[in-house]
Amino acid sequence: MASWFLVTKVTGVVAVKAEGLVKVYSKDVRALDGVSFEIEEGEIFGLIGPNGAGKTTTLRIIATLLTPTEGRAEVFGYDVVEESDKVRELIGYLPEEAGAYKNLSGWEFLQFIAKFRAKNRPEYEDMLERARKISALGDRLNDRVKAYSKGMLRRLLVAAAIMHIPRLAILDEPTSGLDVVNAVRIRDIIRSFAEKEGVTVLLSSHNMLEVEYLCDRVAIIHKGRIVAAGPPQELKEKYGAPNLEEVFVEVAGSGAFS
Amino acid sequence: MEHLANVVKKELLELMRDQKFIAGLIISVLMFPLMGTIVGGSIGASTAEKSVIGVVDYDGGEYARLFQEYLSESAEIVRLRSLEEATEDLNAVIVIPEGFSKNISSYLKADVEVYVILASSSISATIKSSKATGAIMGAQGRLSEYVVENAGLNPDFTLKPVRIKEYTIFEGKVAYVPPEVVSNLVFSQVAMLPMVIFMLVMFTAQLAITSMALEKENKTLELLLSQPVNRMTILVGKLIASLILSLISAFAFFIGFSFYMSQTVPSSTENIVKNININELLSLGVFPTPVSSALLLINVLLGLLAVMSLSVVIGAATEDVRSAQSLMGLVFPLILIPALTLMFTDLETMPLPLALVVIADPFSHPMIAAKAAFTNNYSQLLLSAAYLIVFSLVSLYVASKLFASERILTLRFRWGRRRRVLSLF
Repeated sequence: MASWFLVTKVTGVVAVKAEGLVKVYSKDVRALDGVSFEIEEGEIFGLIGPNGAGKTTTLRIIATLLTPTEGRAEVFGYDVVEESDKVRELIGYLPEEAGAYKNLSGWEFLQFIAKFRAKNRPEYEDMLERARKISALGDRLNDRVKAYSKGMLRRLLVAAAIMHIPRLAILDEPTSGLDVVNAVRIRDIIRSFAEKEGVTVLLSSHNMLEVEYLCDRVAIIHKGRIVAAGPPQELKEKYGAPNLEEVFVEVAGSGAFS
Repeated sequence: MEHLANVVKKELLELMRDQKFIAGLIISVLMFPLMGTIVGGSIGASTAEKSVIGVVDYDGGEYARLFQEYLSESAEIVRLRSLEEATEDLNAVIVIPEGFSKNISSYLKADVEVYVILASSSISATIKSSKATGAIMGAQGRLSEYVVENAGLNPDFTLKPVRIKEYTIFEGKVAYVPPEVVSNLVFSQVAMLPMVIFMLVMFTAQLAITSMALEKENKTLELLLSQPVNRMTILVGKLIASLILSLISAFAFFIGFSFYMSQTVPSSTENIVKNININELLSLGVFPTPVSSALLLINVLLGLLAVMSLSVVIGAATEDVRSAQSLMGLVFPLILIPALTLMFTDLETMPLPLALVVIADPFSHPMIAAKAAFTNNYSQLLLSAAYLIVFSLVSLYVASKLFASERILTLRFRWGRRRRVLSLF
């Protein structure tokens, strides 16, 4: 099923290109140690790995928030450092453990974000209508954000990240900390949105089963390096493992990369 | 422009709905009027009431009777047989010894003993006691008029042969105005305006730091920074919103404070002012000219710009509103010290080291400018403005650099052991 989509939706255009990304926070902290990968337009690409492996740092660089110490990255041909303004127009970013303005209502929050994105009034209305559907919050959108549960907040933020139909959605741990029902809901939103709108998705997760379900292609990141990459099925076959978790244990524990 | 309005609107909604802001606003409106009602109410009551004076008359002669009659014009008299009968209800007791009338009629000084009773340490009791003393002095004056008139002289001339015309020299200019009128006026302006400016600077710093710390606390900064909006727009939007809200707060404070002043400061000054020529007063130059006012406004706005930029940087380096507010303790003395020193002294009369500290402190200058505006000291106003321009541009530049770089996300003040010291503020 997944490979069938891969054939139909991938256009051959390179959506994200990362080349030798290195990020050094201080002398002792080397978060990224030469990360390279490419994502084609229309793909759902997953970065997986344990906490502290460098997933968030990678996504923040692609989202123009951090500057790489070495290496470079492009989003649809635009450099994330030199042409960050262009990149920001193309992306939608869901930060890890993000929040929303507590004293605003969910609706006001969406309006605030939509005003940065919309070029005219009809576009603005369209975005908000889409956000209402994605978040599925109904009348609760009129409540202040501080009254939201974790699941509701996450749905609001996912809506804010993709309501403008970005060409690239960057989703950092989209389901972390959520219960099963909310996690499944968010996965379905991401999946159907990518399929319907042809949005390229770059997501990170430490939940490898989730990634296996969602992603066309994954990269396993460990200690700031990509240690394996490919479609989940291929990786499982290559390492003779029943699931991605075992693939990870295999590549991380082999010693060759640690 | 549209983006800027969007940021400002968001900031206003987010800050205005913050419970702490609303509580602070209510307190700043009500604090002084409440104080004023309590203090002013009791002062008002005690000024309206006459003081009660007990009199022990061992003399019984004509002058003793006259003295009591004059006394009863401005105080309530209670006759006592001895000092021991005095109660706490009385404000003072006068003992007129034997021979009082005899001494006066033979042009010799007569004695009275005055016992002032301080019933409690409250303001109203103190006021009534001093009113009792005043009544006794008044009776003394009336008695001397009577004696002089009895001796066949004109008391108005004999007791006050010299007519005093009071002029005031202020900043080298002379006017036919009693000095207490000018000093009262100068004091109310010099005390009031720096007070309001001080509060304005404090509110602004607080709001700017909170606006930034809220982004950190709510974890909204990353999402905001990934939007296609100029970082400078975000910064300026935050500054504008902080300024608007602090102006509202300061206005609320000003209303409360002037209500308090009108309640506590006696209206006697107003009466004196009514009787004198307002043009004479204006000729002293105790009011700022339009140019001074404009320069003062520029100084205040620049000071606010500087304190906001600084606060945004501090706010960006914190994790939440609470730690941001404890870091405010670092900026707070910079605002408070000049406010206090300038309220009670002048730069010229300060010890040199203190004066240098105050001059070096950028947040002194809006208050220095407020004083200079009332004396229309243009060179001081321009100097302060020049210093503030440099300082606020530098701090704005630092803030904008911070916003444009990734350091806005990664900046942390490392305090470690210093944390304990900081939390003391």
